[in-house]
Amino acid sequence: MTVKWNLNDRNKARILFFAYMAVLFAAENVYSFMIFNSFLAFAALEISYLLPLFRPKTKGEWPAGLFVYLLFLLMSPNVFYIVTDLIHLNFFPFRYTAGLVVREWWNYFLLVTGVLLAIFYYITMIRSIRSLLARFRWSGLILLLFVVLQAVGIFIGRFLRFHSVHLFTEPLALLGEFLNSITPDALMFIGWITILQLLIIWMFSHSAKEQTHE
Amino acid sequence: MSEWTLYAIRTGLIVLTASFQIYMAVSLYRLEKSVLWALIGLLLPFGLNVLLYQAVKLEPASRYDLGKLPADRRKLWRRTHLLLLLQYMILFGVVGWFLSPA
Repeated sequence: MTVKWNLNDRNKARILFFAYMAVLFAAENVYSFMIFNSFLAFAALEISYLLPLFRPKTKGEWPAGLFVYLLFLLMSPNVFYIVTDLIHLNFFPFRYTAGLVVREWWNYFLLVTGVLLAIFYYITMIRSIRSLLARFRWSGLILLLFVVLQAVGIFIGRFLRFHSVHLFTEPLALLGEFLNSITPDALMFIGWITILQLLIIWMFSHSAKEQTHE
Repeated sequence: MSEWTLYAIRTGLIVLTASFQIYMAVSLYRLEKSVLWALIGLLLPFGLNVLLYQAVKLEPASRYDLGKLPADRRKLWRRTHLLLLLQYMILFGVVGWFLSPA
């Protein structure tokens, strides 16, 4: 049996996920919610690797393909959602002029590590989507639509406190509340989260064509 | 909720998880002809067996594009991943149901 261990971005993401989970479980911290949030983000990333496998080739493959693609679409906002978890730094006062409080900065370290990991997952996920869309003429537009949907998903999760699973269990309530909550402020939030994602894609994620040139 | 219902749900989850572990052990043994892989398939729960095989064997073999797998492997891994996703959805559904307030 030969085992070749490739430490590419996919495996790096996996190792970092398990290491981060181990630290969150083992060490004292106030951000235990990051365990579940990071798990959901990691699950979305792993599902993104399965998208080429579930691209339907025959009529009979459509139901399974549709199921996996829909599941990915529902799970994917969980990746960038973690970036908005930075707001939880407000658990601590950070009165830095009064001196260094180790507990505050240890928790800062843990939360920011989780956010950086999420950004890494996001870039890796976008790379998977880009290579999947490479054959399509309108790939840029589809990617933009995907990014906007991510921002909408984050808005729903953050402010309406709905979860992906509620789309199945309470679809009408979710739709009703979402429509009621669309205000200029909500649109601004969605816009800012969209711009943040586009900035990250522009800075860090290269298309297959650009990677070939490099 | 009655004792019996709880027992039935718990038994159902155990049977579901055990069936998937046995399925993975048999699949990995057939693929690799290796007792170690069969043990990994049997003992690593909740898709960790799939994740490990994918990271170590499947992805390098498909050049990190699972869409490029040969037809027979493609069929096997579509089925495996689908079963795993369904297993997770059932687990999440049950756990979510238990945790949500009455």
